[in-house]
Amino acid sequence: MRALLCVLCLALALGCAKDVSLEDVMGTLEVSTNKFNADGASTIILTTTISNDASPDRRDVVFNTTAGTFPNGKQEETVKATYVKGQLTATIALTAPMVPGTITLAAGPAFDTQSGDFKRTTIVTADPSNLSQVVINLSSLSMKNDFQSEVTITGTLKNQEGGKVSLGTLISFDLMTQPYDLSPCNCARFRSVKAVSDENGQVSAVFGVDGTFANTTLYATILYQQYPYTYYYVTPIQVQP
Amino acid sequence: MARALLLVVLILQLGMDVPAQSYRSDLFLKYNYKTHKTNKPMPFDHPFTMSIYGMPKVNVKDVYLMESEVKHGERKLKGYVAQGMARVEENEVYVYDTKVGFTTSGDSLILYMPALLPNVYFDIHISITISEACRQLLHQSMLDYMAGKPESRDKYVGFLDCSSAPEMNIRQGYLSYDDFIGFFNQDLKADFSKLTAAATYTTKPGIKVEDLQAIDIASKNIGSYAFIDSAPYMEAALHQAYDGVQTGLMKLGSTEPIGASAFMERIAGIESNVALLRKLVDRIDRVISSGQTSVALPGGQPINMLAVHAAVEEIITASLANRDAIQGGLQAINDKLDQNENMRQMFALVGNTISSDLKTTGANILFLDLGLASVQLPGLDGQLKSMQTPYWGLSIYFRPIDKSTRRESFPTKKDLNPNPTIGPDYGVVSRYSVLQHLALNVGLTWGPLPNSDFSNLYDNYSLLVGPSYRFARAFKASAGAAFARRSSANPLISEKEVVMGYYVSLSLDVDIVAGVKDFTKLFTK
Repeated sequence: MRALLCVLCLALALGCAKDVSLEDVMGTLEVSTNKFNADGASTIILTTTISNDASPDRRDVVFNTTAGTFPNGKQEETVKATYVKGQLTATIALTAPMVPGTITLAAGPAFDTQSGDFKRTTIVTADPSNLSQVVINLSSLSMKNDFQSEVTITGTLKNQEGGKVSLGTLISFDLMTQPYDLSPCNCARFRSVKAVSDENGQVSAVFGVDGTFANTTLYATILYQQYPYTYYYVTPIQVQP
Repeated sequence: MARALLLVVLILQLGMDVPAQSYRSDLFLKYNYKTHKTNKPMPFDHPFTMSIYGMPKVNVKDVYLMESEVKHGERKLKGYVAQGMARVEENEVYVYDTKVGFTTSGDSLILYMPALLPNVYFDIHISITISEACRQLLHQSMLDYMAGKPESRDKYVGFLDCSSAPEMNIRQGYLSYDDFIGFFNQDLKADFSKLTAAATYTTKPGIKVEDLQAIDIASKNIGSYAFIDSAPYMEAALHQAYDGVQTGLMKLGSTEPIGASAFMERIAGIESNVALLRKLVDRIDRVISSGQTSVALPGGQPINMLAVHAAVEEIITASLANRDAIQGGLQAINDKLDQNENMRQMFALVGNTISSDLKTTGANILFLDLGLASVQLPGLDGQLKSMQTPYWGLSIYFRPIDKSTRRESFPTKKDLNPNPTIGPDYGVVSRYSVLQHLALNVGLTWGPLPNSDFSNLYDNYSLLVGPSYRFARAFKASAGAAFARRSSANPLISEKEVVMGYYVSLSLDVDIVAGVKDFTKLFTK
């Protein structure tokens, strides 16, 4: 009778699949910071650990992100875990996207199984990269006041650290009689206006002036409104008859 | 063509191996009574006919099979201790297993044996009518009882020993002394009283010494006919023992009296006496033929030889009448004894009486199967995954199996209706049993498993273990536990783990070993 019970127990033990928890497989997914600028250049470091019982051929960890890119330029990359301080660890850098928002990061074993979902996830925030500096370039330092000569104004928008601003930063163009003053000349006509920053942080427009002013210095201005303030970025241009 | 030729050779071989068979008998074999050996092993699960030849002439009444066993190197009957039955000294009961049909032919006893269980030792107990030696013991016991002597009981025990199987002291049927006395008083006493009563026998006056002297003188007168063989007659005459001579209690020429209960000896004695008396009559006839009808003794006393002749003839007539009386009374007693099943003599055949096992007949408890199994294994998602795979395996039976048996012809337990107290208990008889069908199946799958989550337990094989049931001789259905390897539920572990699932299978008994044996026999014989 005892032998029969032993056999039944063995059979049950062999017949039942052992439950494997997420903790048995993956350690936590750590990030170097929870927030970074959506400037296309900032990075955060993702680190996760896996069980030291992992077989040598099962130590690949797949990282996924909903925004930003890994070193391979894609949103998924596989990294082989190696021992760091006695623990199998996988590490990867994520480059920030240009668009602000929340990013879901995930890490899990590369080998897929039906027995469960063994992915660790975490959320980081890509904050807007706000405009703080503008480098203005004019195609010419002077122009005639007859609408016949046009000047192209190009602005490279930068954040406080000199990096790129987030994609879609909205500015406006105007031509002022005084620098850093709300005194438009009302003499300029703008066309081909690109008032929203591209992935390089650039904005541009083409403008000409009428005959209101001659032999006068006017100020090509890029205006950036960040409530409750309006910031002016100016550069002088000589208007000639 | 070659295959057909082989088939013909096989059929011819089978035909030569099998002798004429009896009804309801699969085999015929011979048992040498002198050597207690059979010409071939006794089969199991086959009814067979066995001819026991070289037996002494006996009057067989019944034949029993008795299960025996070997314990501590000693073979003995399988029995249990109880009061009042069978083994006299130890009160151990040996219930007979079954009676066996039989016929006699010359010095052979032909037994129709039922199908027997495998590897069972059994004795064949042959119940015969009581031998003369044992009967004398019984008669002495009866005489002592009639005379009120307490030795009667001991003599009855002596009779039991005499009539039990030699050395084993086993018998079928048994009456205690008290029961026997009851039987005696009811059925035998009248005949026995008559046999022992003096009134039953007639005696005539014996021959006188003077008569014999006259015969001697007359013989000398003839010349060459001296009466030199007169001693037996003279001895009886001097001791006045002619009554005993006529009733068989005394034998002429012997000084030892014959016991009153030695009826057969008495008959033989009477017949011996009559033969001698006839010689005496011949001598008297010669004397009379020589003209000496009256012979004078030395004292002058005349002896009439015609009267002597008549007296001897009367003694002969009375002796023969007495012999007939003894024979008649004895026959009446013996008939009643023989009709009583408990008054039998036994002898047992205990040599090589075992239904053979696989070593002697080649019958197996292991069979090779080939079949298809449907294996259900627990998947990583907790659902059973079904896979079909061929497999081969061993069927391990719990008793030897002979595939050529006709199991459906075996009696069932219901049919047998055993009597566990006095028999038959059918302990050695093959019955229709599930054990003839049930086996433990140990199988190995063959080839890779079709589901990539699983792999075989070892190399190319997974293990199947479970009970199997044989039907239609060669087919087996089985279900049980299947052991294979499955990917670990932990995705970081590449080594597969052993899992247990279930299987159902259908297989065919290929019995390759037996096939190879039959095939090679063709070339090695």
